[in-house]
Amino acid sequence: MHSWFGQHTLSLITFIPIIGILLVLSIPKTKETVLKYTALAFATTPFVLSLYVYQYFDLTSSKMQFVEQLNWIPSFNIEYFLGIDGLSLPMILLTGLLSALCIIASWNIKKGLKGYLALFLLLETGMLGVFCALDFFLFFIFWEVMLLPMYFLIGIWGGPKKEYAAIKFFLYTLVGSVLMLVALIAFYLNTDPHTFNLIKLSEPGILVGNQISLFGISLSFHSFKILLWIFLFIGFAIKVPLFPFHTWLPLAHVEAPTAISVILAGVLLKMGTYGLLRISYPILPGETLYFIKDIPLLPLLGVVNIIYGACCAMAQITLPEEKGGNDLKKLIAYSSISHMGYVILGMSAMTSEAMHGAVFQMFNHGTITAMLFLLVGVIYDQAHHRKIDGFGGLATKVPVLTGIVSVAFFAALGLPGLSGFISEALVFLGSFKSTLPGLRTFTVLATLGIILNAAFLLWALQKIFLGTLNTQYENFQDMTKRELITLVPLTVVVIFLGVYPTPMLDLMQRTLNNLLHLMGV
Amino acid sequence: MDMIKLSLLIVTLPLIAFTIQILVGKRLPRDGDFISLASIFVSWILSLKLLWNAFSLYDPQLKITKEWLWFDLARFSSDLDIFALKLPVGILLDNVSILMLVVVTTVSFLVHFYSIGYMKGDAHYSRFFAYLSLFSFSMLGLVLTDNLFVLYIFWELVGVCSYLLIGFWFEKRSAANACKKAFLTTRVGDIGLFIGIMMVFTTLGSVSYSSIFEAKASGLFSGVFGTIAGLCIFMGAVGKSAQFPLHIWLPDAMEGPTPVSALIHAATMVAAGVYLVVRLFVFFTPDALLTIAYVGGFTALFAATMALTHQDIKKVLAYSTVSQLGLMMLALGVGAYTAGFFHLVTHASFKACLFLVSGSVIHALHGEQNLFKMGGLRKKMPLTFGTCLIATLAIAGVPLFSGFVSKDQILAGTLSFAYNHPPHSLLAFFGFGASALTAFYMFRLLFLTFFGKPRDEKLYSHAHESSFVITLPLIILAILSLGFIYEKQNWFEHLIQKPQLIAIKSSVVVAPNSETLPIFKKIKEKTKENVDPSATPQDDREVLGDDVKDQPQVAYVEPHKTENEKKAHTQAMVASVFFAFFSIFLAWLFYIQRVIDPEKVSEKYKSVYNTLVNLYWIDEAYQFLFIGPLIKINNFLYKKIDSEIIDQGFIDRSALITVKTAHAQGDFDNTVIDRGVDGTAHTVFSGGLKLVRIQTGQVQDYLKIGLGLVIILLIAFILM
Repeated sequence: MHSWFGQHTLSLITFIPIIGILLVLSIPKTKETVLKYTALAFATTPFVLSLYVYQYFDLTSSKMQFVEQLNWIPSFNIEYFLGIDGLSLPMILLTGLLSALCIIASWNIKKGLKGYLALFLLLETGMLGVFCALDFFLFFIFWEVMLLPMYFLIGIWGGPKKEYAAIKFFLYTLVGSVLMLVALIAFYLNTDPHTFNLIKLSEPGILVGNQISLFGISLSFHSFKILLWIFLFIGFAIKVPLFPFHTWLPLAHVEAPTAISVILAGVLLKMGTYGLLRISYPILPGETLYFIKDIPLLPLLGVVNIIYGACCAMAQITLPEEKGGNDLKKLIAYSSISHMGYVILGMSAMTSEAMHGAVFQMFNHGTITAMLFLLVGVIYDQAHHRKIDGFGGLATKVPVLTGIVSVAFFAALGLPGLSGFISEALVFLGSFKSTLPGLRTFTVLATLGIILNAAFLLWALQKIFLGTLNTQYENFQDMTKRELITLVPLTVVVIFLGVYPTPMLDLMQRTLNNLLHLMGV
Repeated sequence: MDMIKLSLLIVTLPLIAFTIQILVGKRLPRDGDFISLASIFVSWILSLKLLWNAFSLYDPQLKITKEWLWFDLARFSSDLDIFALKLPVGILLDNVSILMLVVVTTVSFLVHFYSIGYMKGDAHYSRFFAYLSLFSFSMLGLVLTDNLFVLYIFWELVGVCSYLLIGFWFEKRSAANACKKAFLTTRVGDIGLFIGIMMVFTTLGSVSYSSIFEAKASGLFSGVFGTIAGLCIFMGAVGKSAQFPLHIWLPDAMEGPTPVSALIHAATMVAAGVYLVVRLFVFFTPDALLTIAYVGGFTALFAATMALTHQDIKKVLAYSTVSQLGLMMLALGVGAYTAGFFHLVTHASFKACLFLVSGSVIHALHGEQNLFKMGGLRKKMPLTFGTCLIATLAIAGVPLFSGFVSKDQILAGTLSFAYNHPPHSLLAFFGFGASALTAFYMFRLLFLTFFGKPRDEKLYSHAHESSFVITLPLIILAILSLGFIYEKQNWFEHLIQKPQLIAIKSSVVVAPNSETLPIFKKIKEKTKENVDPSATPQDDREVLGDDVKDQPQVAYVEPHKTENEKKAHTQAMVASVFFAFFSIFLAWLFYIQRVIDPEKVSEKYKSVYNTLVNLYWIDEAYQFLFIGPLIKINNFLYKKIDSEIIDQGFIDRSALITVKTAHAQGDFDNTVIDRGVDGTAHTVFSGGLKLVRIQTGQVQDYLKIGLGLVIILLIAFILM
């Protein structure tokens, strides 16, 4: 812990992929295998290091750990401030794991491999940086660093409508970034001394200010803070994505290459909820509670996401292709919207169970949805289409694929014994227990999601894998070793955490209970 | 080894077998069937050992529990005063669970054994045994658990096993549809169960049976709140035990291989709903129990009518199962606790026997399931016939057979309830009606299959008695359907006694969130005003200790051995025997003597017949009422709201407007401002050029020009 290594672990985790970029760029592009293995090594190292962090993480402490703090731009009080707690560590583990698996899943990329790998590594640094950063300015920089490679990865390596999807994703996220930037500057200006330090900003009473006049309307500081909360919220809601800011997601997922869909759904969506928990909740606790208690915006949007996402996912099965349906990847994209709804519902209940459920669901959705997208990739690579109607009876030909798909689908529909169940159940138990007004009703409504999710997932499973074999796929091949390497680890994690969730729950409990305590609930 | 360790071993052995089977089963000799078989055999022997222990103790109050912590959400946060879930997993061993263990392992072992013959040569032989093992594990876990949360976990796991096994021959479209339907229909009920669990958890902060009972004894969960909580939990049982209106999945579930139907959809999993009601019996308020009785009673009669006309041997048995489960629910609802559980136990053996018989017949006839293509098989399949006869006599409620003993108690229970509460006489009618119909349709099945002349000569000529692997389980189950096993010294009534609540002072730690949920408070107040005295009979309530006297009803216990009960018992016995024989006689007239022609009867009462054959059009009604509209809503949400309004309408349009504004601005820039700017620039530039002539150092000049341009653009920007 006290060694140089121990004191700079987080920096290493964050910036090792950058070293990877330099190496990848210096290797000639004809040496594809060397390129891939180099990228794999540098993408995997952060995960290995995060396991080391996990090993030495103090479960009983509510403070930030592995802290690194330097004055970076002293004239603006901008700090290079990294640290992790029980909220960020699960996300870092998830990011590390998925990044490593995604490089393996990208093994077949032919076009511009070098650029792809370099951008991917840059993306990894951005993601890890967001989860490590404790200075709002630094956080924002990593947030933006993440955006750029994502734009190119979708726009260059994507499907037929990639440019449209990439621009849409970019603009949507940019709107969110701009709003976040406004909040960031406002926080900075309304603290004395001015600071971007997220820990200092979370101290009660640090944000002070007077009447503020905007466009000729004078606002009390209280209303101004509510406005800031809304700005931040929209920024994060676009990432989650929450209804009605979600329409970039199905498009981006459908067009993105497999590995990028995995990162998008597995990690990037969590940035939204992570941001809410890291920034909105502790810095603006009163305003957060205002949008839960006085105006039940958060729980309402959570429930809308759960049900609306599931309904739209089901429409993928019943609508023909020309009406925008019949796309397996889009179905899974909408199921993500539904599952992120559980996170929002859990976050807004303000009970220990629901909060644990929400953060655990963030992790579980990351692994489960990654499985789902990887599996769609496996199918697409062979069939070259994703029409739900276009298959049938594959189970006879590909038992292993069917088995893993079943695990993933059942995990997604919340089958006990698999990790998704624990988090969903905790969200439900905690939200129902919550005494905040209306939450019980919302929870009961949300239970509809249990049946809707099961309905479209099993229906899709049936259409693709059960029934008589579509003769077109007489020669459909079962999973290759490489595909198994990407999916088996996730399957193991999903089953292990479903049976024994304690390690993950222990990891987050001190931080989450503390957060609730600080918010006065 | 102590009993807890034994029971742990009983549960884990099938899990180990499953793991081996699913990973390497195909590579083992005989596809590894011996692993599953051996594991369940050992579990069975160990369960018998447990039963032996229970018999040697012979204590109605037997109760052994052990708990382990699973997770604790406040493990490191003791200083924060946070009230958070602490979830243990535990084992509860009492006479009910031990007996249930024996039932499950017995049927499961026999079905495993039978499957070696029945599934021989199937392409997925190893996977079949893997699923059977997984099911056995889940079912045993469900039986042994001591809290509702873990129960829910196993509850869903047996559901998924059922899904996998119904869809085992998934190449068939019908099987693929049936497994999905089964899973989704039961899940509707599971939502109710989960809401019930949430209500319990919210009130108590714990979900263990013992804390629920303690709370109940101290007066919580009474009144409307208790009733709603109870009915929510019961909803789970309605789904799992295929009670009306969620019964639709069970007949379709017959798409699964017949051994599966015997194990899961007759003897064990579908009985889980009844088991749940048994486990939580004292938790249910009188009103909840009354609802259970009506649901069960109605289902019993309703399903029996549908069994009358069905032509598929397995579907007749499926409706019969629904009906018998309804009878068990009815029994529990009227407070005949012992009878209800008793019928679960006896039903498991004779119904499993009947299903395995049907499997043996189907096997012999190369997959034919239509009763009207069978006939005369008794000569060709004497063993199958003999065991079928015994099981049929048992289910029909003929004296000396197990079904008689348990069904008689149920009918006596309903009758005495009807005597005590005349407004609810309908319940007795349900019970007697269902059992009369049962005798009729079961003998119809027996006569059509084994008696008369073969209706399909070709099928008949190929028919043969099944092998030893198939007939041995039949024989064992037939023996278990004999009455004397259960009648001896009334051991069953002694071991399984109706639980009584012991009133205790409120020592239960209640979660800070109050007893009654706010949403229910209003209902509670409302209903308090207009209580119907007949719906909540006063005389049935146990008077509890002084300290809780002021609290409303807590337990629901029928009066002990009153005149009414004795009277009811004799009458029930006479009536049930009479009905059984009368129905058998009728069936004989219909299907053997042909005195009455069934076709003419159906011709005469065409509308009734059509209703029955079409199963009351319930599937169609669901399609029309729920599934169709749901699909329409989904399509509307996606097509209209998501694509057209939000995405194209709002997002894309706002992008378009931005682009257009940008163009307009651009035009404005080009035409109005730029000209001005250009003009200015030109002036500056030419002025600059002039300056160049005067001065040297071009760089500075360009800088000046640039600066000028920027300033002008800024002014233009501000002006806009």
